[in-house]
Parts: sequence; structure tokens; C-alpha cells
Amino acid sequence: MNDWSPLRKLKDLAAAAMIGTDRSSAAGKPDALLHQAAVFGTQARAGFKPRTIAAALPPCPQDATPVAGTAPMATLARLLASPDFGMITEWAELASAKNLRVADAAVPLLLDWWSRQPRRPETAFSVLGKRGNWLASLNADWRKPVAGSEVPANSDEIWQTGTTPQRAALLLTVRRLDPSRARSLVQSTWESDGADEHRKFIEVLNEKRSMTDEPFLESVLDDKSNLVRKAAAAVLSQITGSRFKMRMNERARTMVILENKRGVLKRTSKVTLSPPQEFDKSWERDGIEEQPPSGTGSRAWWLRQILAAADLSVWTDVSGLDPSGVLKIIAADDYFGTVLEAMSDAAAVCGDVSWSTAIMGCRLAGDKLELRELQKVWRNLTPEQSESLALEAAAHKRFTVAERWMILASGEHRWSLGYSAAALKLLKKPQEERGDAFMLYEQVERASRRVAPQCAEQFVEAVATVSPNGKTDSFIKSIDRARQRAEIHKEFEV
Amino acid sequence: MPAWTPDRVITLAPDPASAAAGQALATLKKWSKICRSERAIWGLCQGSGKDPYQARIDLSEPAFKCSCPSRKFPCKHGLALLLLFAKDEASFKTEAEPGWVTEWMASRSERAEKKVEKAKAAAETPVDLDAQAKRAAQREARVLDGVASCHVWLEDLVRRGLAAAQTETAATWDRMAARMVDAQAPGLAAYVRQLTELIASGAGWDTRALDHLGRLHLLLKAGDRLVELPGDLAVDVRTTLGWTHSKEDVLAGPGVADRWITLGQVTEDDDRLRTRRTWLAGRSTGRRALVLDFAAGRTPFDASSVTGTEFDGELTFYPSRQPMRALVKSREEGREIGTNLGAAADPTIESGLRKYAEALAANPWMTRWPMVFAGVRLAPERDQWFLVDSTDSGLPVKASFAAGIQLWRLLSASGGSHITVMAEWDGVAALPLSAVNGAGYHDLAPRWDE
Repeated sequence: MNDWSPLRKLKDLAAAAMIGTDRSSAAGKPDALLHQAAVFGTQARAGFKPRTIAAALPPCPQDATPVAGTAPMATLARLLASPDFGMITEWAELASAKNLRVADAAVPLLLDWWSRQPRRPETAFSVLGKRGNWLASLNADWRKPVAGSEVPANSDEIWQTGTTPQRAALLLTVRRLDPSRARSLVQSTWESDGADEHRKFIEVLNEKRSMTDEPFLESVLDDKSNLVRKAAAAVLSQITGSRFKMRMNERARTMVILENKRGVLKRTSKVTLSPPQEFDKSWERDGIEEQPPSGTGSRAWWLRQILAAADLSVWTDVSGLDPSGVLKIIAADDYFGTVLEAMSDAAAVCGDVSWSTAIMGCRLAGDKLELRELQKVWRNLTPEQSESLALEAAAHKRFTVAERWMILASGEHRWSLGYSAAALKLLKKPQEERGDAFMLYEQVERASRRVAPQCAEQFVEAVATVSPNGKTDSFIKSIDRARQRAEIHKEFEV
Repeated sequence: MPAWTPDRVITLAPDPASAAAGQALATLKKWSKICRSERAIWGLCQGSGKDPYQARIDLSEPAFKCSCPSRKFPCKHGLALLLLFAKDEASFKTEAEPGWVTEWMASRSERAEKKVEKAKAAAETPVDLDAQAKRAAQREARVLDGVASCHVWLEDLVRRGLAAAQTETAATWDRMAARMVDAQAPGLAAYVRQLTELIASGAGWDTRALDHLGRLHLLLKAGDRLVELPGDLAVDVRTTLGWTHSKEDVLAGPGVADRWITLGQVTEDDDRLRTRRTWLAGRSTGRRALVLDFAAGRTPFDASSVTGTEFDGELTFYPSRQPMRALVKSREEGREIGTNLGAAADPTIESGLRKYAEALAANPWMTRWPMVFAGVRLAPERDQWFLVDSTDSGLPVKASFAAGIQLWRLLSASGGSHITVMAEWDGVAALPLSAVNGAGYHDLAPRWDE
């Protein structure tokens, strides 16, 4: 801007006008000042000179991936107007499965949403195509963290001087990317950290546990703190092949005894349970508690803890029978109830479908049963296996419809088509009891996110049997969600 | 009217919440019945009440009516019904209109007829020319009084200094604006109100405020000499002071025929009144036009001008040395604008600025000018974004636009290469309103307070 430019002159006049013509001799009378302002202002606008801009953005590379159709794009716009993490992610998964990308003009909207999520879903970024990468390279808020670089640059500083929650959060991030680096981190400050930190960090190491952690965790069993030892034992009990597991198996074998009886017609096997008479001091190192909770006998308590931490294969090895055979021959034992509880815990770790099936069968036939205990047995199975066990359990006549909802809608996986149809059939049975619908808000919501889209209408009918008046906000939202998901799926089919 | 698209329907929503609610309802499952006739569509939507809501739409405008108690207009049911129609016209069964549709349609056409009759009756009543002339003379005198007192006020303001003006309370400015309204010079009242906004506009406000006062000074000087001014200039001065022209008179003027492209729309929300600027450009004449719509409270805007479409028709312009504000005199069915804007676009930024300078020379009180650039790219320099043409001339983009998601939508649509951009230019910065490229038309206007 030159001295003689109209804008420069207008600015000088403005300085005079700020003080006022009464106190500024330079500006002359008000009329003269305003006259000049009118002239220079109009000149400045009329004579606007554009700036020469040599800088250019790198062009966005061509993207051969086809763009999603108008119907899915309109739906995405609708989803982004009132964002629901699950539905937007599902939309992105569908688009990704069909090898489609988001239309150019909508890329910033999804990218902006994506960048605001605490856990940025990978698929939502991938359907943005090359344009998403290109825009992210131009906007620091949208820059995608490169895989492996998510660990903050000042991680050493955080580990050395951060608060315990900060350190635990950092440890979890590192653990997910590089498990052994996380373990080294814990070891590097072990001497100076206190028992509380030790316990918290060991709990983090449960994520991505493996045999490579075993030597360190085994050494932690010598820690002075009872709670730290128990934390390490809890992780070790889930690492097959660990020395801890071996010791537990060894102890279990002394308590599960096979007797062969030679009868008149045939030889029969019998397994007897012999709970320990005394508490062995060496057990303490492995986190076994001596004092039972009130209402439980000491011997049963020790038996339960040891059998829960041992491998279930101990039973089949000792008896030579399959899981259901084992359960049959010990069913009459006084300690059967205790053993079944311990076996449920062990089954939750081992993920063997024949054990889970057999244990579940016994539990369903037994008299007292907590749903949480029942669900344990299919926790570590494949989705197909746990679906079939859940269906089998829910079909049992002992359960009310509300309990069926709790059983069937507990999983984290999307429901298969077969499971959806069968589960919803079970849930549609009219029920006698009323008034507990509010207890099912969470289950119904979960189901609305996971049910197979083809079964949306059966889902709606099932919800109607729980809540005949059907006017609860939470249920209406769940019904809408299931139907919307069905529509999104249909839109991608075309 | 061109076929409805979901995007276009959303532009009718009175606010973002209604838009979202309408979209959520725009699924077949929510409707127990959706039907159409030649001229209307209607449907039944189950809400929280006992009976389903009856939503109906007259497709000719479109006009909405719904039995729900919502005070929004159009309500979410109306929006949803039209959205469904835009997405999936085939699902609408052609049926005979039920009573609640026919009756409403009949009452609408009856009302329209009455309006025509009334206008006809008014036109037939003999005009009392004497009384009319007397009223006009009275107003003239009042406005000129207003001009004189405004000038005294303005000079006093500059004598005491703008720094002192900054400490004035809102009531002071309101009083001055009210005085100008009383003097039947609403144009002057608007200048006073804009000044209060400029004073609060942050760094550099002094230059902007003085620029504004300079323009006001020019207007007041011209107002003093109204009788001496050449006729067409006097018209612009009178319009700027606040004299209005009757729609009928404007429509009676000669029409300008062209294929008119609806470039973009901006809606501004005052406390009671919403104003919508629709910018048009003639495909063969290259002429620019501005259609202003006003809507009080919750009433909707006229929906006939749809951005991203064009129509063959005639516009009539309000009298001015630089005719800009216009009315649609006649229009044929609209259609999508395609990717080539013909003579409506300026080849370079230089040539666009030249047109603006010429327009400003004709009417120095003009505040906004529509720019249409056939091929510009976006580029950042330091903290500012520019629209840059093939000669590397760069026009600064308004900071408020660059700070929001719309800049990124424009950037994403362009992919870093050249794109056709339509923007409002105020002599300082450009506000992009829309863009066109191979992928189609992109509406970028701030529609709600975002």
C-alpha cells in the first residue's frame, strides 16, 4: 500500500476522526473531513487491486473408487446431522465393503466428525478416499495419526513425572502398539513405584497378555503386597502354559481322584473330589486366599480357587472322559455345586465349546443360577458358538421374557441372521409379568444396534411384547434405530 | 419447477433442528399412507397423538399444511413428506384426493382469487389524485427534515470524535434510528444501525466506520439537493433514503428476457424479519439481478426460486442508474444449471472488479455485488484464503467463511483445481455462496446462524 493509496488516506482520516475535529487541527471542519472520507472510501472500493498469489495447493490425486449413490449420501448427511457413532461407523463399513467412497462435497463433514471422535474409526476415514487424505494434509485438526505414532512424543516425560492415571493411560496406548515395550516400561521404574502403581500397571498388562510376559509376572508373585500378587495371578491364570498354571494343575490333580471299580458285569470309573485338609503356605504366593467369605467352608473355598485357576483339561486327563462324561460322574458329589462354579470361571478363560456346553447344561438344570454366572461360560467362544449357546440357554423354560432379553442381548458382536431370527422368535412370546420393561432399556438399545437388518420388523414386534403401550422414548428410539439400519443396508444393496 | 432433490427440500427448513427432524421422519416406515394427485401430495404420519397427522403439500408452490400442533413452518412432517417425494417418487400412489386435501386446495385457490379480485377492485377505484399528491408532498417535507437533522447529528459526531462515540449507549443510537423512522426515512435509520455494528466490529473499526459515515455524508448531501439532481440519480438517492416502489409499478415496467441462473441465496435474520437475497445472472445478457424476499416470524419464504437451477423468463428491474433489484415477471419451468454458465460468468477477477467499479460509479451506495468466476482456485497466503484466477490474481475470502466448514466443502469440491465460484463482493472481501463443477452445483451459503 502506497502513501497515496485511497485506503491509506482513509486510514489517516480515521485517525483524525477518532479524536474529533474539535481537537484535531489537521482534519479541518467536519464537512471537509466527511467529504474526503466519501471520496477516498469510494475510490478504495472501486479501485481495489487484487493481490498476486503465486502459491498453489498440491492438487488432489484422482480417485478411481466410485462414489456412493445419492440415497446413501443423503442418509449419511442425515446421520451427520444428529451423529450416532454406531450408525455412522456402520454406514462407513457398508460403503467400504462395496468399495464406495463419499462424494467430494460431503468429505469435510464426515472428516470433521471423524476427527472429533475419541477413538477415530479407521473405516470412516478410509471411505473418504484420496480426497480425505488430501484435505487432512491441509488441515491440522484433521491430520490422521500415522499408525504407531499415536504414542505422544513426550512419553518418557509422562512416564517419569506423570500422575498414575496419566501413566496408566500411556501404558495402555503403548501396550496396544508394542506389548513388550510396555512391559519394559513397567520394569524400568518398578523399584521406585509403589504398590498402588504396581497393581494398576499389572492390570493394564492383561491387555495383549502372552507367554513373553510370563517371566516378569512370575517374578511379581514374590512381591510383598498381597494385592499386587493377586493382580499378577489374575493375569497368569489366563496364560496357558505359564508356571503358575502348571502349579495350579498340579494342585488340582491331588484333589480330583479317579477310582476304578471292578463290578460284577463291568468296570466303572468314579471320580471323587478331595478338597485340601489344610492351607498350604506356598499357595499364598499364587494369590490363593486362606479366609473364606462368610457362609463358605474353608475347604470348599480353597478347592474352588484352585480349580478355577487350573486348566479344565485336568479333568479329562484324569478321567479319560469327555466334558459331559466328567460332569455326569461327579454330579452326585457333595462338592458338585462348588466345582461347577469353579469350572464356569475356568471355562470363561479356556474357550472350549464342549466344556461350555456341558457346564451350561448342568447350570440350567441346577436350582440357583445367576445370569452373569451363566454368561461366563460363552465369553471366550467364537461368535457362532456363543450365539448357539445363548439361544439354547434362553430357550430354557425357567426364564421370563425379561431374562431372555438379558441373555440374548448381552454379546458385543453384531447378530448373525440366523441368531437374529431365532432370538427374536424367543423374545416375541407374550409374557405374563409386567412392569419390568424399564429394566430392559439397555438390552433393547444394544439389540437395536446389533440385530441383523433383515429382522428389523421382528425386532419391532419383540419390543412391542415387552412394552405393549410402546410409548417409551427409549424404546421408540431403539425401534427407529433398527429400522434406519435396515434402510441403510437396503440403500447399499441397490 | 425442476424435480425436487433432498438438498433442495432441506433449503425450505426454517432451522437446522427442523431439517434434522424432517430427515429422520423421511422414511416410508413412518408413514401409514402416502399418495399423490396431479397437483398435490399427502400422507398420514403417526406422531405422539392418538390420530396420525395429516400432512399435505400443494406442489405448485409448494405450499404446506399439516394437522400437527407445531409452530414451525413448514413443520417436520411437511418437510419429511416432500423429502420422501424427492427420494422416492414411485412410492406415492396416485389416488383421488380425500376431503381434507381437496378442501384445503379449494380454500387456497379461493383465497388467491379473492386477492386478485381485491386488487382489481382497488385498481378500479378512482384515484384521488389531489389527496395522493398531498401525501407525497408531506412525506417529501418530512424526509428532508430528517436529512437535515441527520446531517447535524453526523457533523456533531465527527466534531466530538469517534472515540467518544464508542462510549455511547445502545439507547442513544436506537433513539437516533427511531427519529429517522419517524421522519419516514428508513434508509437513514438503517445507516445509523449499521454504524453501531461497525463500531463493535473489532480491530480496524475506525476506518470501516469512517468509510460508512463518508457514504452517509454523500447521501445526505445528495438528499439536500434532490430537486437539482438528474432524474435517474435522484431515484437512487430517494431509494437509498427509504422511498419504496410499489411492486405493481415495477412489474408494469419492461421485462428483460433471458435464461436466468439462480446463483445463490443468503438469508439474514433480524429480530422480527428475515431477509433473503437471491442472486441471479442472465445466461446470454450476463446481467446480474437481486431478488429480495421478506418473511416475518415463522412464515416461509416463497419457494419458487431454487438455487442451482435456471429458468427462461422475464425480470423487471426497480428503477436505478445501476438496475439490480428485480422482480420475476414471468417464468417457465426451471431446470438444473449444468456446468457451463455462459456469459453469466466473468473470465478473470480483473474483469469482475471492473464491472463492480462501473456499477459503483453509477450508484456509490451499492453495498454488494455478485461475482461469478468461471475458473478460480483456492489458495492460502499467510492467514488468509484467496480465490485465484488463471492470471494469479487473488481476491480475499471473507474471514467468517474461511473459519467455517464451508471453506472446506468448497475446497473438497474443487480438489485443488479450478472451479466456478459465485460470491458476494463488498469491496473488501468475497463471500462464496455456491460453486459449480463437473460433479454439479454446491450450495455454500450460510442458511442458518452457523
